Amino acid sequence: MKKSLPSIAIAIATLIGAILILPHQLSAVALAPDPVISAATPQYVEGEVLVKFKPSASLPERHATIASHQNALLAELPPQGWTHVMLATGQRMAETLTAYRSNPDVEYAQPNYIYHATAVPNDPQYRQLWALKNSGQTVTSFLQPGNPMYPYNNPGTSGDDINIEKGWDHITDCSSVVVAVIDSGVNYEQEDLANNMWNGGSAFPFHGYNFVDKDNNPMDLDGHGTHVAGIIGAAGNNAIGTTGVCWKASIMAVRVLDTKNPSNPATSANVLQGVNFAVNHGAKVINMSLGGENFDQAFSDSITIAQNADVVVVVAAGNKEPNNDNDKTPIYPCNFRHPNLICVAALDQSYRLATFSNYGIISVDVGAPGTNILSGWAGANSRITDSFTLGWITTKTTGDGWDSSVLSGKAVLHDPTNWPSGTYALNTVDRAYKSFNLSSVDVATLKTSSSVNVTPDGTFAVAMRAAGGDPFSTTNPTYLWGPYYTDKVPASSESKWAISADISNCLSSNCTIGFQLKTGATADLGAAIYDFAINALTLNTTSYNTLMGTSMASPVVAGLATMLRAHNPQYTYADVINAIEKAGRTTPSLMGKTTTGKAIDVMSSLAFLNTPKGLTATVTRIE
Amino acid sequence: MRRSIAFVMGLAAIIAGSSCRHTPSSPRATFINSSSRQTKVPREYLITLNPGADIKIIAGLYGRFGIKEVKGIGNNLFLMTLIEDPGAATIEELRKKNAQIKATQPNFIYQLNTPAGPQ
Repeated sequence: MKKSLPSIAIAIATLIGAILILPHQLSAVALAPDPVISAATPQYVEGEVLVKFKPSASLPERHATIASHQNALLAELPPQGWTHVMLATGQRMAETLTAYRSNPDVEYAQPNYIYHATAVPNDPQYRQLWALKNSGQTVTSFLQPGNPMYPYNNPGTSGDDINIEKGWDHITDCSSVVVAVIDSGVNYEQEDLANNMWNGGSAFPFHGYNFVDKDNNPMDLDGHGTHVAGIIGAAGNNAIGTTGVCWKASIMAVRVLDTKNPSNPATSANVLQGVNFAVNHGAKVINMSLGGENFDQAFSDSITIAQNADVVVVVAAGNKEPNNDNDKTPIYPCNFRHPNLICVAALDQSYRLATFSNYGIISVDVGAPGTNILSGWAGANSRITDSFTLGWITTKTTGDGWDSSVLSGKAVLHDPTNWPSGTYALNTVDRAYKSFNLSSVDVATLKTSSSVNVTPDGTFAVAMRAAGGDPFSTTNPTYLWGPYYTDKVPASSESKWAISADISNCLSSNCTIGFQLKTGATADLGAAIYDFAINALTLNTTSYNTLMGTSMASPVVAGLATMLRAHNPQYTYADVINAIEKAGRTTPSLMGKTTTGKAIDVMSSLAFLNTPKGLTATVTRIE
Repeated sequence: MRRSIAFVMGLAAIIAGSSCRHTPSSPRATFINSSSRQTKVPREYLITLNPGADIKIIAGLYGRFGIKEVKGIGNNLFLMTLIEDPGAATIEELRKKNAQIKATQPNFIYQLNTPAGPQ
């Protein structure tokens, strides 16, 4: 008498079978990485098989066998006996293969499999992109060849990269997922970004929004945001410039940073509005390469809103050397603990933690390349310096006034003339100013340092005038600094005020910059101006630059997050972050420094299987 | 009568402080010291109202410091710019006196995460 399997065992076996046939994209228990199988990546040529006949089968016999299956012979292949066969329309591969395999003249039959060359883009600067392909190359600064920005471990270690070339065999087009770059803006006309920008329609024709100037033009007036955007999605394989993690992308530009205002580049108000804009307009990945020292509840709330909208937020860990431990000295948003947020440290070319990079075994999650990173830039930077010897007009009402000297090898503009050995004249108004031609630039910032010792009944000020002439002679001077008086500070080289002022409203052929010392009835040491420079940017579409920072590491991960979401549209933010963190490459320099101890690995993340969710099983006793 | 005059004067002061732009004909000379690195924007605060709250409560609570501007930035959040800055602690203390305001905080400053700038 046959014994039947216990009914419970049958039910369990059925359940196990059901699990095994689940498609891989459903969340499942983490397994060793399998080859990525996707409906978009066929494994063999449909309608074609290869048949190996036995040596005893003659040519006419081989042809007759093929004809008997209503197939067409495409080619005889070396070595002898292999034939390339095309099926008739409507014939099924499995049945045809079975038929051939059962023929006594056939040794074996198989599909005509497809093989891919590992994708390598043809972008001319690809060989400098060690993050994508580390061949042990030396990476030098794009603008100063031969001068690496980060000299340690350069060249680095071949193979220490994000393992992306195999990933590109499966996906290069991430444009189905909008990724927001919340930064200094993006030069959306840069040659390697112009075709990869988010289509904001007629409402947002410039691909995003500008919360600094409160308009819809997020043009980058610095370069940082453009560089970040290029890391994520500079057009790949277009024979131009570099390539991003994604060859094709949909990048939303959100300008919240005004780097012309170094004392106040970005604020809570602008940043959280930027996050809300990105979420409200369909971004599913956000990159923020910025940080601040204060716990910011309003900013945290905006990330919660992003979480509720299933948005992955990727942020930089910060560069606060020597106070690099974010667990001791928090940096936000990195130190927020939202489950949809991933914080990134920077690695060098030998996958050592970069010396400048922040870390935190509780607060920082993964590492990614962040040194000597080449990417697009907003335009051409230039610098006008001045030695105070030519072209300066000085005026005074009494006494001494402005003069220029070389002190300790530095050009100095100073008042009084015997600074720092004497005091300034009383009850005087002394001015020094000069014209500069700024008509060909788009952005300009005055940078100088000054020693200022003025009593409370006097002031020192810096002003500009686009129309030329004495900038202090108008009814309402455009002050760039001051008027201030300052505490008694020794007039030494260590006691200087760093003056940085946006002079982009002075972009004329005759922009005057001036200094004024106005004194009262008491005297002090006076004022001295050093290191005068006007830093300018002329926007163009063809610039590139090499930078380092966790600012550069974060968008590498943002690019991967975007790629994962494009490859797996059903992924939640949790699935994306899980795939990034769990499938990363264990990296000794990150162990004990990050929550995962891992650097990102693109191919492994693409192949990663997430834990199944919502899978239930009912075991029923069958009587 | 005296109380009425004081109330009117006080109200006028609030209105004057909250509606009139402080634009002197020339900038006042101010003292600047070496601890000038800011982590928050002076005189700016983010005010979160509870759902259904009247925005006028902001002027009512903080008008005494002179309000230059109140701008809505979404999600019941408002950016308030004052003429005189009483400090975050005072702003928060006043918030506790009115249930219509959910939260207050300074407008914090954020920096780029690039240790070396462009060449």
